[in-house]
Amino acid sequence: MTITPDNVVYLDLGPAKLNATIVFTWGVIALMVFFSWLVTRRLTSNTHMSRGQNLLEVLVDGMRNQIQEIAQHDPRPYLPFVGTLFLFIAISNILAIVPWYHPPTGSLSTTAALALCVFIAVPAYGIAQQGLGKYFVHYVRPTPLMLPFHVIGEVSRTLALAVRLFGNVMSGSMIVGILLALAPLFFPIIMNALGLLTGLVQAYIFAVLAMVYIASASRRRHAREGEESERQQSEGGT
Amino acid sequence: MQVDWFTVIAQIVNFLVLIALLKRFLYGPIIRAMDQREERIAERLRQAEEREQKAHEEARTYRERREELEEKQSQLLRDARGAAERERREMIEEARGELDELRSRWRDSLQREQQSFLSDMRAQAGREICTITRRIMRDLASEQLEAHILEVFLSRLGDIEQGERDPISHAAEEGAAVAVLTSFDLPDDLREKLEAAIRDEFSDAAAIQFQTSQDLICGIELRTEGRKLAWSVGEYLDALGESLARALAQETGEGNGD
Repeated sequence: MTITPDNVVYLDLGPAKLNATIVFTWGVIALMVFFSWLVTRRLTSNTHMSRGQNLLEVLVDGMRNQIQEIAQHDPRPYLPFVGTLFLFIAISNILAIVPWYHPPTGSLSTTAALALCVFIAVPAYGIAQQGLGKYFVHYVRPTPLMLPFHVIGEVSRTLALAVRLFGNVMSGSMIVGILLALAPLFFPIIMNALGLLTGLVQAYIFAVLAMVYIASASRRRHAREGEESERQQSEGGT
Repeated sequence: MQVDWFTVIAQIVNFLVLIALLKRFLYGPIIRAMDQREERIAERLRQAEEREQKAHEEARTYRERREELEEKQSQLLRDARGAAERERREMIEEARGELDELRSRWRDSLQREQQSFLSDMRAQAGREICTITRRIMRDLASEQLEAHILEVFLSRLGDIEQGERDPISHAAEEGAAVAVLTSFDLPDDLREKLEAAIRDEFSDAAAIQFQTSQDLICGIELRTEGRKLAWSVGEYLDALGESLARALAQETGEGNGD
């Protein structure tokens, strides 16, 4: 039994190993882009539209509204990053019901990569919104003594983000595997269904937390509320 | 837990590529389409509002025009009613005038008829009365009556006025004939008595002739050269006829009055 798809290597080129994580990520990317292209090549602004367009519009509009709610801000700059996080994680997790599929989110490498992206994106958005000086000033507020704690907080929450997602997805696969050994009938199906739910919830939590971090960095005034909601979210999520 | 750093970097790259691709194929077009739709809907709403406003305006115009027409119609109706009322009054007046004229004409003709009828009747009545009286008197005539008549004539002769007696006296003196007309033959004694009375009254030389006349009704007449002295029932009858006619005329005149 493999815990992480990193260990399933299809092509070994020395340090660069083409493992299942990368391959299935490509698959997921290809699927998403293909579906998007399929739908958006025949877009219409009439009141009559294709079902695919309707689905995508509901998704995009829902994400925009969520971001708007959290950021209290124009969602346009955040949508591509946060929306892609949500969609990628959600689809990676949902596809877990496909046989012989390894969700890339079940790999700590993937979740770490995503968490790193958030880790970079938070100051990037903060600096883009407020400017370099203003952004870094908040690390020494209320006193410079707080600087290490701020830094530790940034790092630890990124780590928590990565590990939370990895743990949830990996455990889902693990539980299915273990239950298959213990009770091969019915139970794995139920657990799979539950896995779909937790997969979606994890995608939602990851995206919302990322948005909260970015929003708190972008607008200091909301920082405290953002951290409070982060705590609540992480407590509820794990 | 192992983290394969090559995989991490590859996944970061993959993720960035995915962001770029989705931005190109998903968010961009979808948001554009949504914005366009919103714009179109807003445009349509605006157009609909414009159209509605226009419709409202048109409806108001039509309403105003209709009210104007109604006003005009009622005005016309009022005018027509007034004209008809005036016409009716005029016609009634005219008819009343014609009726009055007819009535007065009718009344005039009725009065005329009445009058002519009354005057006819009057004349007839007078004539009848006279005729009857004459007949009675003729039937009653006798010698005794004649004596009485003579008495009356003689007394009248005695009462004659100066102006009336003188011309007759003159005529008799100059030899003119004095004719005495009676309705019957006088007996000799009465004739003598009358002669004596005449000679006594007028002149001794009077040439007296006695004649009878059927025209006299119970009376005696004395004639000489255009002068006449008479007493007869006919005179009374003539007076009666006149007074009767006067009375009847008065009565019909009063009858016409009301």
